[in-house]
Amino acid sequence: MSEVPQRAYSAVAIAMLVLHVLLRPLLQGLPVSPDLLTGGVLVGGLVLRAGSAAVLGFCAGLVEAALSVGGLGPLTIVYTLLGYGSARSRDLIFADLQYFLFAYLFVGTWLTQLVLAALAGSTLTWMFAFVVAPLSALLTALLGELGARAASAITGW
Amino acid sequence: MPYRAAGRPEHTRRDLITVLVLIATGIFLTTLSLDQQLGVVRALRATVLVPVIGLHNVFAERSRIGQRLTELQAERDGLARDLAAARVAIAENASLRALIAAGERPTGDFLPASIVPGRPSIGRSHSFVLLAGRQDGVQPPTALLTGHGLVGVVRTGAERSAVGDFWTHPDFRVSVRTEDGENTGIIRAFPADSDQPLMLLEGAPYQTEIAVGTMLVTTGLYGIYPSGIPVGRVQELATVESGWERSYTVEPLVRPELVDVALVWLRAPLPSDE
Repeated sequence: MSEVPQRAYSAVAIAMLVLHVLLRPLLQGLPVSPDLLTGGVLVGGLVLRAGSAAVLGFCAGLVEAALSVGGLGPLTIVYTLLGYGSARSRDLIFADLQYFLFAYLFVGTWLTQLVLAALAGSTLTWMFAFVVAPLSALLTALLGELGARAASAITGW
Repeated sequence: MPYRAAGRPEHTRRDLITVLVLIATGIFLTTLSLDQQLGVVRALRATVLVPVIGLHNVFAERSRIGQRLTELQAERDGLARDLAAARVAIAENASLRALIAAGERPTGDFLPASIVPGRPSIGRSHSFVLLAGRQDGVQPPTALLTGHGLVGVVRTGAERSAVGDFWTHPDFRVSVRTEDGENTGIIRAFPADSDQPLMLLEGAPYQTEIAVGTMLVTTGLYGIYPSGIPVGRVQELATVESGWERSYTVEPLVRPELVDVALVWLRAPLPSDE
């Protein structure tokens, strides 16, 4: 178990979710910001059972809806599926890549943002799909990867 | 960082049931009416999210303060520039008045004071109480203004307080002119379709048309309002009385409900004061 970076991943997931909730107004003001909520649910899904990951996603969607005052149903459904899907994806992913977490977060965040934008309807533009969303996913992936490495290096996890 | 899968939890049928229940809950939330959804959101914001909302409010307040600071710095710079230009004009004005032996023109002074607006649902919604009175030099009737423009008029005064009307009051009138002095008229409140009332410029000359966006300032006639105080900008032509006059709707520069502190004009005595 000591070789498995699950505790580092757990720390990253918690940090991402807490930072998202606390810093939401500051991040929203940036032209492109990391999607820490999606990142947190994605990383959380790697270390939790599928049911627990779905609960995590549901709660994340509920909190996001409460903070943004809207989209209660769609956000809870999307993040529930994201949590469940990320937990189940462990069975499909061959994850021995050096930069697995980076690639996983990048692709996962990008796709999630596209789904959320499609549900929102008006915001799904080419600019969003191929510039804003990938940049946001890139920032999320970078933060996740660096956070996991830092947690691993500091604590020896 | 590679992900090594040893020791990971296994998935069971219970996980599948959990996710199905959660999705059903999500679908149920989607079917709620907007009011019911907002009720859920409000409940969350008023309970578990209270500390987070408090922190967000702190961020928002800091952001507002920063923005206000920038505005105040720009306003101060503008005032310093205007003051420098005004000094020259004041000196020229004084020398010209001396040349024609017109004597010194009484300009009055301004006193900052807090105002307490009337409540829309109770009593007179277009009136205010001024927390300064005759002891402070307030001599009704006189003008109430901010740095942005005219707010209203102080009607009656006691020793430590006074009562007045905002420009939104149905009885409020002020004589105005365009900045170039070409057109004049009388401003009064004008109930608009939206929640925010506008102003109506009446009695503008028929022969000339006032362009949209033109600034209207007080004429200073009768000595109740100082001359040159901005009142509003012409929005559009309202009515034309053929051969007689034109009326225009005017976008006010000051929304009274947003004013906490204003400047009272400590005017020179009028003949009617005696």
